[in-house]
Amino acid sequence: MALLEVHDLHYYYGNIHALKGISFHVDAGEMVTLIGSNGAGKTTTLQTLSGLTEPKGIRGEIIFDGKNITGWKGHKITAAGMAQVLEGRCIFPKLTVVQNLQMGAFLIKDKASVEKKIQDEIFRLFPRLEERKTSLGGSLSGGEQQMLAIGRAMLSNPKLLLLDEPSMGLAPLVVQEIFEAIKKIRDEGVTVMFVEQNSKIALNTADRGYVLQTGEIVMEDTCQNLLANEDVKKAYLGG
Amino acid sequence: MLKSLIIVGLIMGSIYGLIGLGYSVIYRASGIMNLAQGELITLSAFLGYTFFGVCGLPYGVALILTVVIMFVLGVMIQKGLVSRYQKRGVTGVYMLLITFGLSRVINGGEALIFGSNAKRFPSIFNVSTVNIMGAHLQPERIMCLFLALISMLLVHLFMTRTKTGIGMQACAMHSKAAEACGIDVVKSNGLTWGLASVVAAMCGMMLGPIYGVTLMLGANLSQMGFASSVAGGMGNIYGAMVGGIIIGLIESLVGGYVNSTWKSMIAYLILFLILAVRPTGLFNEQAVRDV
Ligand SMILES: Nc1ncnc2c1ncn2[C@@H]1O[C@H](COP(=O)(O)OP(=O)(O)O)[C@@H](O)[C@H]1O
Ligand SMILES: [Mg+2]
Repeated sequence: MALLEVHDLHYYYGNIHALKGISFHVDAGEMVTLIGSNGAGKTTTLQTLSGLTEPKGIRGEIIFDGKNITGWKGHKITAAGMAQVLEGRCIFPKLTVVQNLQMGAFLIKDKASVEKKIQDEIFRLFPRLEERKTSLGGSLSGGEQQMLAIGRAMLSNPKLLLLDEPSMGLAPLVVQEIFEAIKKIRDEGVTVMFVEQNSKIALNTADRGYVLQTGEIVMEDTCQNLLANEDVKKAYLGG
Repeated sequence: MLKSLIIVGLIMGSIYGLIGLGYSVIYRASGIMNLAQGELITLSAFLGYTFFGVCGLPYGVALILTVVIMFVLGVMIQKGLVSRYQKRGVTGVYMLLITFGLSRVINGGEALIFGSNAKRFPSIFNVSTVNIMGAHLQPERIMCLFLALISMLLVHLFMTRTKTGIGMQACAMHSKAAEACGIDVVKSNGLTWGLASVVAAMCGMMLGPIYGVTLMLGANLSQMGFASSVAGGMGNIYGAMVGGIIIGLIESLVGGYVNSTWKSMIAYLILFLILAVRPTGLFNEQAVRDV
């Protein structure tokens, strides 16, 4: 059954028509990627799903976990079980690593379960974060900030985790590490959708993919098929 | 003489610190420099005078009523004015002008409702002075010292130890990320302004009995509070306290040993010196955003 269904979604920044009627779905337990070059509308798509764009620019329908969440406020959508790791990580620079993580659990009342989750899940997934747990978020390296952003999003106990270009600005080895962690998160039963410009790693990690081009979905298939597709090879995999 | 000057300096310093805290809370949690903070103090003093001096309610009741009204007003200012302009993309000096304009509007409202004559805030205690280590002090001033320190401590604990308080800071650092964490950013920002107005209410209820209630009360004293928060490092909550106490002590010592007309000038010269050595205040707080 689809956890997320998007029907004919448009987004307008004033006169700029950034999303031109896209439809896609993500089934429970799947890992789906949306690839596209710079300016294709990847961030607009994810932020509209999460209620982080102005609702007045939205046309179309977003059904999440059986509820029509179109136009809901961001914090309500997080409460409904969709979390997002934002483009550029956006950690809180003057809060410590632990405080950043605790903010991710803002809606969770049971403090003990939050501490347990930080210790048993997040620090196990990213031991680097435990070493730096009292450092300020702003003092972390790019890779550590990405780990922190993922950990923070996981603390809301999401059903669906969205990630906006998790590889952005990171060294290849760190990118590997981040994607390994994303796979582990999926293996724990969290449904994952991520957008990427780095099509190679995206299509080698996810199960299914969509190709977004100037606000329109031009292709969808299993990642295996997309990797073998000549057009995709030419346009997104460097020949 | 020295002992009593130090005591007076500490008392004034704690008040300046509390005034400065009002600026710091909003700056820390929304990156806005609120020039209406002083006027909120004046308004609180007028409200306190009305409840205590005119209606004859006990001081504690007047204090609670003033705090509650100012909290609601602070939330309303954020929802009705500040957030509307923020939504339209007003920031920096443009927002500064809006808060300054707000201070003038509140001041005009006070003049209309309460008139321009100074009001005498009746004494709270029935002894006129108490002797503490050789200093003869109004008991109201001693109460100020305690109330200011308790208020600062409570605000500090709230902002740094509670989830709601840390969430308020998170909203200032990255509002989209805060929303994505599940924080209702609109509500949280309202709470920030409510809290800063409560701090103003505490200041007004302390300053009214000492200086009397005039239309200039907040404007005069809030300068020193502003200086305190900057000296400590804008947005840093300890900073406002320490900055306030330094400025209060300098003023009191200069007033006692040199000349009281020079006290502000010398306090500001020392502020220049602090900023020359530590360009972002004593606690080295980076500015959140351009003001
Ligand atoms: N806040 C905004 N205001 C106006 N146009 C925007 C805004 N954000 C993005 N856009 C435009 O929308 C399109 C899609 O942008 P975006 O979703 O950021 O793409 P991507 O994440 O794929 O690089 C681009 O043409 C971009 O210029
Ligand atoms: Mg993007």
